[in-house]
Amino acid sequence: MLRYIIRRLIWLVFVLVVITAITYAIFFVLPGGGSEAIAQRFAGKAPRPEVVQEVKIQMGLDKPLGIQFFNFTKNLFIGDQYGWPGLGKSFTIRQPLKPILMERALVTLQLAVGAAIMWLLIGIPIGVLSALRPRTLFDRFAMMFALIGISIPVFVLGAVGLYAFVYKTHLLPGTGYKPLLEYGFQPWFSHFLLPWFVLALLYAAFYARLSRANLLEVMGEDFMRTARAKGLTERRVIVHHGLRASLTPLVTVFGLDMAGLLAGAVITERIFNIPGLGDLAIKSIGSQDVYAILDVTLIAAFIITFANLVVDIAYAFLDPRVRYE
Amino acid sequence: MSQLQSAEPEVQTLAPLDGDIRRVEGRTPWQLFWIRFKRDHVAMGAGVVVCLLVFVAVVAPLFVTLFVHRGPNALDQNLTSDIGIPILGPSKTAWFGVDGIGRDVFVRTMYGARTSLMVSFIGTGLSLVIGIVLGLLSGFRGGKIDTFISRTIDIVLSLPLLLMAIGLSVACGASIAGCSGVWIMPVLLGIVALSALGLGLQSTRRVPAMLVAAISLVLAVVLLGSGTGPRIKTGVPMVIFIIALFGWPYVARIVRGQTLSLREREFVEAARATGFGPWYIMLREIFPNMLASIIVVTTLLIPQNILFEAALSYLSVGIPPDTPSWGGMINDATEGSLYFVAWWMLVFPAGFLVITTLSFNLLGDGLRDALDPRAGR
Amino acid sequence: MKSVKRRTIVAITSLVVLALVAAACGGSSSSGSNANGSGAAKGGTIREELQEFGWTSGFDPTGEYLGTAWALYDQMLMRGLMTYNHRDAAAGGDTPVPDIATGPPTVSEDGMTYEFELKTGVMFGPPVDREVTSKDIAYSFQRINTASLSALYGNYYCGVITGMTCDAEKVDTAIEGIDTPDATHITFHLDAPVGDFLYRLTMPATKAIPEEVAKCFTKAGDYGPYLISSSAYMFMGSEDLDISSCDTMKPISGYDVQKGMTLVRNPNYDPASDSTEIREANIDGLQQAINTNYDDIFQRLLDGEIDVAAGTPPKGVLLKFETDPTYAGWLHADPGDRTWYATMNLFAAPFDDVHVRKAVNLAFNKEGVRKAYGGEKRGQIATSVEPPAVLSLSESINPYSANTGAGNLDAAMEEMKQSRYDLDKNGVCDDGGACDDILFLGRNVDPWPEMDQVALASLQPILPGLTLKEVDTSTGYTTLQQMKKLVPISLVPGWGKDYGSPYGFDYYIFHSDGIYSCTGASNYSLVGLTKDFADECGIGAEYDAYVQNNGEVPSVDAKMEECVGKPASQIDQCFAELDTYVMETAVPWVPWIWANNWTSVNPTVNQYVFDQFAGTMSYINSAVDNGLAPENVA
Repeated sequence: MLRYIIRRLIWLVFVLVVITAITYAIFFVLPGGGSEAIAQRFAGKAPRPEVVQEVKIQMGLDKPLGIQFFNFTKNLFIGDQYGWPGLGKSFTIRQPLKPILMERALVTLQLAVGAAIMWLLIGIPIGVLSALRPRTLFDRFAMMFALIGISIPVFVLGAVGLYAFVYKTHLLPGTGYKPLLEYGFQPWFSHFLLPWFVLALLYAAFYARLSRANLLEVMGEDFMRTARAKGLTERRVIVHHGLRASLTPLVTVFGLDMAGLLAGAVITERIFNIPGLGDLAIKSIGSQDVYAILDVTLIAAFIITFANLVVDIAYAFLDPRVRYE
Repeated sequence: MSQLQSAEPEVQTLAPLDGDIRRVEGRTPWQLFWIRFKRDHVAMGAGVVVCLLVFVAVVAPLFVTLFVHRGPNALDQNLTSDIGIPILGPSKTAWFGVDGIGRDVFVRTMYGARTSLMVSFIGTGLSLVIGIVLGLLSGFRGGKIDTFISRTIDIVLSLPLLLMAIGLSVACGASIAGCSGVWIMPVLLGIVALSALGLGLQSTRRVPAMLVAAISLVLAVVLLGSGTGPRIKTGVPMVIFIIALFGWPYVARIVRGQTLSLREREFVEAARATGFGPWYIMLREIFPNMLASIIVVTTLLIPQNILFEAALSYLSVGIPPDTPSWGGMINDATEGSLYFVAWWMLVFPAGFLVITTLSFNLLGDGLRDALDPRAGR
Repeated sequence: MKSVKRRTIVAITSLVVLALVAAACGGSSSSGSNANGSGAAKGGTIREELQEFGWTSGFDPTGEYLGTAWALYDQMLMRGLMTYNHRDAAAGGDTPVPDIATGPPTVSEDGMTYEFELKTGVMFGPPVDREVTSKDIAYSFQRINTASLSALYGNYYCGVITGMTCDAEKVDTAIEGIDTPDATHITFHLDAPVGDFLYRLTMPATKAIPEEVAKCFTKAGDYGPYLISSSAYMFMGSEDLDISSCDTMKPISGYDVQKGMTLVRNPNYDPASDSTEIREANIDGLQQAINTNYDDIFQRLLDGEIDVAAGTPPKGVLLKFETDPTYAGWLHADPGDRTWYATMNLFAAPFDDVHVRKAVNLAFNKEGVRKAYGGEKRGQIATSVEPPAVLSLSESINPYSANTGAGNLDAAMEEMKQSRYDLDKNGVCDDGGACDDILFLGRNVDPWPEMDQVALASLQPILPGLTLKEVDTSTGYTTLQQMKKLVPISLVPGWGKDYGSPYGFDYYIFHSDGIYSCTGASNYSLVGLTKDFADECGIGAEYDAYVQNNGEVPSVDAKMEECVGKPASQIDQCFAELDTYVMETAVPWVPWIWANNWTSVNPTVNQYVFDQFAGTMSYINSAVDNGLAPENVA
């Protein structure tokens, strides 16, 4: 087990380096302009060549691409002047990125966790109830709901939600993020409610389908029959045996979804004006703030890879059949 | 067809797993599938809608020429107010109203169907081809090739999809000529060479395999050396490229899994024992047996890709505004919150988008149920 | 819409500018335009939201180059030798007036020495808490002179003030040409007379900066979050800055580039050291919060949750402002002294043929583009390059009067027939090599996509090969600046004045000096490009082709020198001739609008004043009656 974990951790490091290289390629090599064009952007409109040169030096863009890449990767592992891990300095706001990323990651985390709680609370009960009454009217409607949830793009749902609950009826306050500690529970909660709900609706649908399918599959398994044969009540059979077995696979999906959300709630964050990682990424892409983009990408990749690892290990504990060496 | 219909009454006991197996003897899996699928009215309905949408997409230009007489970019500012707000809602002259510069929303929605379907079909098709080839190779060959391909899949899947797509799109958009695609052909040729080598070395037809590999490699080197290659321009080609680039790992992973289990099956063993080469086994024995899963994956990938395209266009990094696309139209409607005063600008493209993705999802669901009765109802 | 980046004006030595100085001095002594100096109620907090700050240099006054930042420095945060009165043009908002200086400087007869006397009682805000002296002014010049601080408009001063070169390695390097004999006197020695020197002394980079804090920040943009006030307002939480050493300083809590800034009254500010004509200082605070959702900003304005939103309102909101009497007076459209135009590249086919460029001028649907932009309130249809406020004769320069605004296709086709690219002389560009696939560069930022389409639709009848490509604003400008890209035609750019001189407007966009490097040209059309420079930047072949087909490359360099040498009374006429030459002979542009700047305000703002110089609302002279105390939005 330990060897397995170590091997996976080495793999994680490797993945991060590869992803850094890919991101570098996309943002430095593909546009064609390279360091020069990027420096040009941050030297003001119609800049003098000397100013461009100065900007290049201050941003480390004066070095060859390979060296820049090496330095960034090195700093990532051994830290830079702003501490460990070395995440560099933003080109646009000219401040170290680490505190900004930390702060934004926290915001995104609140968004993701809140939405996750909501979609689990909506999705799983629907899925379970459907599975218990397959092919009933309820089941049909629930599954239809599930598919509609998957089929609506988040930006449509967001726009409609904002129109219906905020601008038209004023049931909810506007968009934005109100930190819990600063503003108290009510503003914090009411500002998060709609984004949570929009995200939850998208995922709840998926979880409803998944838990239904899993539960249906498990219901036919031998151990369920055994449990019934033991004379347990149907309720006990389903809750203690069926649910447990059928929800275990959900852990995998859940881990990966959470990981994906932490980096990928881009559109939701934009629509609802939530200053999270996705919002930062979009802004940084627009302004070619390369280190900020690299950092967000790396954080995302790290979380996804790490979540994979955790899920696999968790499986080893949850499912006695799985063994690693 | 008539055979199938006559079989219908018997089918009622069929669907659940523990149905009476004796009665279905003699029917091919496809017949079984069709019988099951026909009973799923929702999926059938969705299938019809999908066909209709494809039809609409295909005939949109003809239809528009015959009945509407306006192109998707024909603008008429007499239909907007002094400050550029559409004043003509759904009406006889413009069935779905007009947008901020007087373009016909109906026409644009029809053309949008074209864009959305074309982009997602081609993109999905490309990811299928790449995914199937690499998945088969990986699962069938195992060893180092498998490790390499699986690891690549892992890496691509751990990239934040949307961010990378936006990044690629913006990066290529930052240059007018688009991104240099010099590396695309060599990489594809490399994959061909790898497949040929991986499969050919142990087969009876070693020479042609080696030849294919050698030619691909030489071509790759020549292309790389000469620095020529396609340029990826932003817009439709870019979006298709992005969809293919990030879509294949899903396919490859499924194909690999299926291949792994199929290659141990008796009929493959039998073929191998008879002396058939790996090509034959892969294409004639393994591939047909996973066709069902591939069809299901395809129908579920397509709506995802439609949404993906729409998201990119919504963020102004996908299809350019002069090519009508649903995502772009929704962007037009929400930017400047124009939909507050011109609801039709949001409702029609968004409605079509949702109906399309929903139909594909329903169809995919139905197909899955019909192809693999254990999975669902 | 993004705020407008300012550009530099090069040192000029001429009668024109000496005349300007006279005007400036006259203005400062007689600025009697009293815009109700004391009538407005004090108190309240102006709440504004914006999508992003968009600083060019991290809000460090030494390098910062953004108009909105200049408004904040000049009105609220910093005081220097000279300033403006922060009002509209009618009230003299374009004219420099003394700020820390007690009055106009004593200028030597040769125009090379400027001596100022400083007021007493001007204080730095907490935690510095001391009087501003001449040393603090000199220090800001030392910062400009420091290479690592990349003063983006350093060429206002370097090569002008004796000993300033903009490449000093250390900030504490004294400048030879700046004397500070005592705390209240400062003298500038120039290498050559510079007529508009007083204008340059209004610039934020020259305003007082305390060395004890700024010495810790010697890289471009670093000082922004630590900015110490010398004026009526300061960052909220300034007093908590621990300046005992460089290590103890943490960014001031009232400013976070990601979230916003809150300005509150500077307790050390003494109104007696200032004038209410310049700074009424009615409000208790200013909150500028970042809100990435543009639509939401204006919804919040409608809902009364904020007081001010700059820029173009979403169409739905605009409709309300324009048609619903409840919202009468919410939208302010003030002359932005800015021209929006389509630029055509003299060296990119088919625009290397003047007939094609003229045909485009005739076909361009200016009215339609303006409609998509937001209608008549957006500004006046442009017929020539300079906004009328800069050059009043501009309105009479109209060589393409056949195009009354909506485009005149017949006239355009007639013109096109004379082009060598119209092979069959039917009024359509049809020479395959040149006319197919012509890049038309637009913006993908609302409302450009619509405007691009309207412009395109009006040009496609004569240029069917136009292919629209839209990029974000920043990419658009960066692409245009790169000579090698030879972007044929683009609707991306706009150009704004620095102050009301035609020279300042024309210089960097039509003079060959406006092409500073192969990757940095503000003269996007490349008017007056020289052979050497074309070769250096890899477009020698295009240059030769142009000369072969058309003869000499049009240039305004000589004419501009001539105009600059004219006596003041003839400047306008001379520049009108120059602009006529530009419009008729060089034809690098299709100017389509002389634009207004838009500010939307809630009625809580009971006194709205526009700052002509900054081109924004004048926070310092406006008033709000929401009774709110400033809250930290950072």
